[in-house]
Amino acid sequence: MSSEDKQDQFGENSGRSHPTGNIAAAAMSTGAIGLFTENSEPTAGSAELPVLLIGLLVTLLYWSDVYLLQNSGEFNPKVYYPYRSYEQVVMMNPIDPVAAREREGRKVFDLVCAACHMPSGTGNRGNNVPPLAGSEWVLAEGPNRIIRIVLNGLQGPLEVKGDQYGGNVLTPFNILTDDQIAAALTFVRHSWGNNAGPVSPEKVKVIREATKDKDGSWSPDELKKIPEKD
Amino acid sequence: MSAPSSPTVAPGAGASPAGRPVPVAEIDASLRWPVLLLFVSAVLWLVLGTILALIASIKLHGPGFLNGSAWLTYGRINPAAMNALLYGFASQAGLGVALWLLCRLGRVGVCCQAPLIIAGVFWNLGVAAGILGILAGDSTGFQWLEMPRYASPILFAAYSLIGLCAIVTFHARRERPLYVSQWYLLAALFWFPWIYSAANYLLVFRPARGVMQAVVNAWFTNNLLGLWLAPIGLGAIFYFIPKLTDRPLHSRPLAAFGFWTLAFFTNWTGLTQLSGGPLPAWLPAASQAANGLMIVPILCAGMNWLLTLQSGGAQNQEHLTLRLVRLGATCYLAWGLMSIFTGLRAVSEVTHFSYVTVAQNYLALLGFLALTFFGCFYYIVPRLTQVAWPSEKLARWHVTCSTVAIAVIVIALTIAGLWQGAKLNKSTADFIALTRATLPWGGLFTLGLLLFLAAQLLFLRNLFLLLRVYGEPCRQTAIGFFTGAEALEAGRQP
Amino acid sequence: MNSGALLCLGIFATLASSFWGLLLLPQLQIGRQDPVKLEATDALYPANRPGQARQGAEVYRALGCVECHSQQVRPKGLGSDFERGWGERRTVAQDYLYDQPVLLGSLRLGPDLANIGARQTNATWHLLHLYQPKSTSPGSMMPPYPFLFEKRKLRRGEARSPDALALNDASSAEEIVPRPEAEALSAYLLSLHSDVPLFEAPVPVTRTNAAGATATNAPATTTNSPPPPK
Repeated sequence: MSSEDKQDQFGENSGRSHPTGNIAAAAMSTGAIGLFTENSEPTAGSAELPVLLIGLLVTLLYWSDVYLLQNSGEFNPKVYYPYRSYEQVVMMNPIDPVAAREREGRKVFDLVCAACHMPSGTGNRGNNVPPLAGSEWVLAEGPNRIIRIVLNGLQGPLEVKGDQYGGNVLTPFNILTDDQIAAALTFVRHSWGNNAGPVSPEKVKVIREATKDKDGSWSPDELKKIPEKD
Repeated sequence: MSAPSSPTVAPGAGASPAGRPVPVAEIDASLRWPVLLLFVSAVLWLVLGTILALIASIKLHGPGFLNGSAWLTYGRINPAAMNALLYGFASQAGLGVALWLLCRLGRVGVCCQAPLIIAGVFWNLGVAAGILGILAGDSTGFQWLEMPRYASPILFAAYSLIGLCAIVTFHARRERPLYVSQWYLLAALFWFPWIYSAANYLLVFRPARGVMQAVVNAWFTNNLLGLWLAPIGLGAIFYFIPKLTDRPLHSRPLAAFGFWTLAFFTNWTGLTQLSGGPLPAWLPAASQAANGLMIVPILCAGMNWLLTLQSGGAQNQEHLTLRLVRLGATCYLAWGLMSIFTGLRAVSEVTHFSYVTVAQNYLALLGFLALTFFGCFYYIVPRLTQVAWPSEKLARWHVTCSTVAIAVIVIALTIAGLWQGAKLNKSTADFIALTRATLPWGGLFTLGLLLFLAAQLLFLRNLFLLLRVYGEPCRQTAIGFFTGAEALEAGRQP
Repeated sequence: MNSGALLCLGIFATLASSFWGLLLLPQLQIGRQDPVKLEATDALYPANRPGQARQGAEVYRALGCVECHSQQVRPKGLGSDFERGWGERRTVAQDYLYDQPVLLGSLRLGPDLANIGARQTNATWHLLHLYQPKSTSPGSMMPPYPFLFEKRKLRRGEARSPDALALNDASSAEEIVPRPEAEALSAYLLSLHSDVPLFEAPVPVTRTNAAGATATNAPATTTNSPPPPK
């Protein structure tokens, strides 16, 4: 080996004994002043891509798609592992039935009652609509009387918070369901400073049954004969 | 598919006049100073980083060690060590390797030397400022991005210079058809500034609100290893395996398939480390889906390398660089499989928050990247300086000790992590007791780091001897100059 | 694949996909959250940390506590965070709104700290633990932080300061007084709790609770219970 043809000290030779080694190319690649010989720069062969690999990729893509569908929680930012859907998160939240009923009752009130009684429950003195906020009728210990008022209507003269209301105070709203009436009354009894207990749909059902033969609206005197609560 | 190239092939189609390929010795001469600067700095940072990691590992089983000052507390030393290893060692070695590979594969010398040298100096200054900042308490708190806001822009500016030179060099290449390594190198050079600037902007300069910071951080750490450092290592492996066995790479279509699947799936897998974390279900799920798909690029790379090596027969299997590159390749495959495995939710339930993640990072950083880059050092430095390594014995000891050390570190941490993870996450065993029970493995970890440090000191000595031989002509000239001057003064002939 | 331009396009597109999908899209979903109003107490959650606790967060970051401690509680069924009493519920994005930086942690060489303020409410315990962890937790592998404290010599007859740590050597001529950093860090640790039930993280109901679950099991605390538009 001549001094210009020094072997790389770690054993690389110029590929002389290799069938595909290109001696001329190797020699040219070192240049005139290089000390170490080396092989030519690498090239890439053209063996075909194994079809199995493509098949593997497709299979894995399918699997990952399925995985995402099952585990991504509908891409909802409120769904955390291990919940899989928004509905599941709602279900896992402890439900306060009274709070739920109150929320429902607000909707019923806004739809049906607020037109006359005002969204703020202040009523309308000029239109013969008594207020609900602070009303002693609303704040009675039990809802026996106000349920009857809603189911069968109320004829005056009525005194509420020191004011008189005459004539046809309230038309019957017995087309509302038990749930709706209970919800609205629960809402009314817990809003605008009122803090009386909730009204259950079962109670409304019982009273509806008991008063189904009632003819005409109630009067305040008739109502006062009925106990506030059982 | 490119025809097997030979240095005399006529230039292919291309916008710029390709011209004859530049002789190899000229290419190496043009790269000499920039790449030597990067490599030598990298080795020094490797030694410093290993020392810091060693101190940190001692504190794991001896918490009272060196705890008198806030500068040396574990919470600062550990990130300092990782930053030194990632940015000081791996990134600089990677940049040097990338430049050399791009020039060699393009058959052209580097476009400019001075900017690269300036950039190299500034990179080192930036890393030094960052490490000191972390030790002083200015750490940003984000994993692998702890360098304070006065250090990261320096790194970014230095990188921009180097990246620009690399792109210009690539554009001026004489060999127009691209080889596999160039895909990986170009990709890495393009991805790094994007992930580094995006992460710094979204975490340090204009922080995102709330838990999005954790998302950006996880995306960044995954991509720093997977899209910046790993592609450079892969580029080196794809270069050296065919070159040193003097065989063509087994399959270019397979390599392309592997490259694109790696590129597409790697960057989505970042959030597997946050599974069970405070994120909506779909974020870790997306990462876990991509994680399973990562088996494809790993299989492609493994198949390509294995079939290339097998076709080479027993020739040249003893070349030191080839040995190191094969070890690095094995560690890459092991790391890839480990990442896929620990990304599965059932497994991460046990391995999350345990030493297994540390083992994984060391397998990537030391096993895959360090060993591959050592192989590159052993091949490239003699060709840059035209000086052979002074001591083959030191080299072989370096390789053997490094390999054993890495094996000890990774295996000890993995076993410790599996045991710790099982006890931590599948039982209510007393926390302090179970942490204490990992102490023996922590001790093994320290021993492994000690051995690794010793090996690097051997390499440093070899490098120093080589550089001394390289600098000998200068020394002689300087001596001659001074003795000649003295002799003249004394009126005598030199 | 020999065209540099095509290669660059592909390289850009691949990273752009995760940049868009993992960073920008989640930023739109969870990156612009605001504190929510709790129905039960009308307070905002999460509450802004008091000044000293915010300084403590800086100390936490600067000392690198995140290297050993995590601040996230994993869901029931994934790991044993619940069984260890590290939280009443898993942590969610809402909990980290005011953290800067968010330090979730990736290694548990020490217990999780997401709810340490609820588990350990004694400031003195925290100070003692920082000064010498083994004094409060025998066998602990946590490093001591003596530099957060000051050893002061007592002059003859001088009484101990009120914040001096009560360690065994009560008769010695030195006292150990926490520096402001230690106090701040302690305040920060005391401020760490995320156990308020949220809509996306309801407190898991155990079998004994379920039978009697009423309004006592904290109600859904966000006001948007109907499925939000996606």
